[in-house]
Amino acid sequence: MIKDRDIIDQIKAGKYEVLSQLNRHFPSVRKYVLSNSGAIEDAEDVFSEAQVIFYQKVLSDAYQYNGEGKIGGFLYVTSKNLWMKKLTRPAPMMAPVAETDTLDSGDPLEDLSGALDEILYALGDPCAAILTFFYFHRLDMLTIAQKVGYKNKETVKVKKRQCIQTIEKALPAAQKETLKEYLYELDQRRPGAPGSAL
Amino acid sequence: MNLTNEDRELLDRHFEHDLTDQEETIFQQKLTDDEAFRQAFRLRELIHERVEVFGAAQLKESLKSQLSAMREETEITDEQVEIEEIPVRSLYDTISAARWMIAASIVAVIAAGILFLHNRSDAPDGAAIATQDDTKTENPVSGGQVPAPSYGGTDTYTSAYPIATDQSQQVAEAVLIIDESRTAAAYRVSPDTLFVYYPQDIYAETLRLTDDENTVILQINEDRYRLNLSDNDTEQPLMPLE
Repeated sequence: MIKDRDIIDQIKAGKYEVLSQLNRHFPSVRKYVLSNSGAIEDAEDVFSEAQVIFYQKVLSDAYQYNGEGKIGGFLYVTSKNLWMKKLTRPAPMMAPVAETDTLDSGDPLEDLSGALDEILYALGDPCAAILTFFYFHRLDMLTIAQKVGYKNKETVKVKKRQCIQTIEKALPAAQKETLKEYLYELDQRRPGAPGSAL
Repeated sequence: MNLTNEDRELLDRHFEHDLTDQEETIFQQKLTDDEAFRQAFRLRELIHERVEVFGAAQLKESLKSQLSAMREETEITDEQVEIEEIPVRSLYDTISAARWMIAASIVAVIAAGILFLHNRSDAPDGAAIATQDDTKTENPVSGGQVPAPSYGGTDTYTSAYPIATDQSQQVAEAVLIIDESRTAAAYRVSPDTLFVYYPQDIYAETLRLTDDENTVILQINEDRYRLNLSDNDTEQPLMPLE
């Protein structure tokens, strides 16, 4: 059985596949969710979310190694909190939403984020993979090159920059205008920010 | 947001943490003075944020599908071998049963005492002394008592399992105690209860005891341990079988 210390080291070395080793901690979460009005799918949902939270904490050095056997406790408590939050969250109103409404929430940042999410989902590989490896998994260019089958890190760098430009170009003109207005407002609100009026 | 190629290069290299000190100064200056550059920078920040959200969602889906696959695999295996599910009893039931047994024992001892006193008042002096001596050698509490394990603290929780032989016949109660403050797994045998202390979180699907030519083996899920049942009520390390 792989040790906690090794799991953390492997994550930091870019081997995020090691996360599947944490599945051994799932049964206690399953037991908890099942005995608290949840289904097995709910248990799988909160546990996988807890795994991602753990992963992001390790990558950002926010997870402190406190000795062996503690990751299981972290995952259990996080899953438990996630499940409690889901249980206490009021059920959403089931009003039908028209498809055209999806990009018009009234909140410019939310609209922009929604537009970017749609572009990202439609982007496909290798762009989606390269950007995810770089910004989410924080892998270095050489490791990304090996993972996506590119010759060297320079090729990845060029491709990554092209992908960013593709996203920027794909952003609808209306969204660019919204972005402009939003950024202007943001600048005005930020004390001490570059270009701030305050 | 019309940027020159140099500006794009500057932005790209900033996010790749590849700027020299001199270039970083130019970058900060442009961020202050050039509105188009500033907007392009904020858009990049937003793109990175959404990529992180996208990546997290993808990773979650991938991990979730692994769990689902594991579940389906287990369901198929369970159907194939037709393992009878062993119900898990709570420790409360065990302690509760123990309390009833203690209470019953106390009542039995009091009843025996009353009977003894009654007999003594009726019997001749010599017979009374003999009965008194016999009573001294008896254990006042009858067998079958299940001692409550020491447990508590935030990292400790307990489950009780009926423990079965290979023939699925319940032979004892196994109390599994998860105690993260421990450094190694251990066990303790009481007359009809096996206490297993684990330093880390596990979920025992099955607990089995097998008697293999004077060696009693405890199986927890796939892991097997050798037990020494002769030393009652002493905590011993749980030794995995090679």
